[in-house]
Amino acid sequence: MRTINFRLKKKMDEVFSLEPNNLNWSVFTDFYKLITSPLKSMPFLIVIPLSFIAAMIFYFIFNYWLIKLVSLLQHGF
Amino acid sequence: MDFNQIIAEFFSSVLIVFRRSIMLIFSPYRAMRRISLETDYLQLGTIFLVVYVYFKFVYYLKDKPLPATIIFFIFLINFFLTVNFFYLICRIFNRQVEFSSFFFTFSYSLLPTLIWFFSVSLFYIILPPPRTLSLMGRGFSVFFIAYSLSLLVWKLILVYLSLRFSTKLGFYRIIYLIILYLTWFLPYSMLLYQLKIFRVPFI
Repeated sequence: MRTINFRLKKKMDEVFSLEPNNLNWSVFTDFYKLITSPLKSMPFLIVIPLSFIAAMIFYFIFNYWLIKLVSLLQHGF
Repeated sequence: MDFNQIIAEFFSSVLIVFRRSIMLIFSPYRAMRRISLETDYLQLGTIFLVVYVYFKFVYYLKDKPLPATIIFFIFLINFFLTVNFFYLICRIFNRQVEFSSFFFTFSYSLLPTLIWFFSVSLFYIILPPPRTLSLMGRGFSVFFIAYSLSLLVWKLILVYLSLRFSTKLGFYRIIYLIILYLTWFLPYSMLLYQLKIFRVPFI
């Protein structure tokens, strides 16, 4: 029982070690929570599709320059 | 402490680093919160060893490269400058912060950097540049940009969480800190680029 209490206390300390973010304006705070909550776990479910959409948009806008950029980045390691 | 115990502790640290790395993919918030409370310095040794292995690996791919050990020491200077910058800024403003927390969280946030640099060097072998305007060239370019963007966003998430858990500051102050950091880090990266040490900053 003591071990369970100790573990629970440790977990609670860990979880409440940080104050929730307050952006001074409730609309901003709500928007921040809306954006960040899906990124806290499994962010790639959102990040990968959005990155592909962004890459396609960049391709349609910059076309040749995007291909030049990739050639440049491939030397970037 | 005998040799066997050192080996056992080293391998347990390797396993923890592997587990934490997987957790950073699936649950970055929870993983970073745990990492900020970490005290096992062997884990950092493991991460820096992987970084060193990477520099050794790319040494054989580049034309006229600097020795891997020198590049590794330059990377260490960059890393310590970054960690100390955030730590000292917080200390100046009388925040109760732990140096180890910065050290651990920033070391683990090297994971997207490592994956990107390793994969780009592998792409360099499999599909050497320059890219062309052919269908395959265009397709690969879109894939490469999407892949790089995903890792960049993941890196930004990890850096933000590192600062959030290490400094315990709010969103605005973290953004101010990052802007302040970029005011010296961008010219410094340009200098490293001019000196042909890092084309893309390894941080």
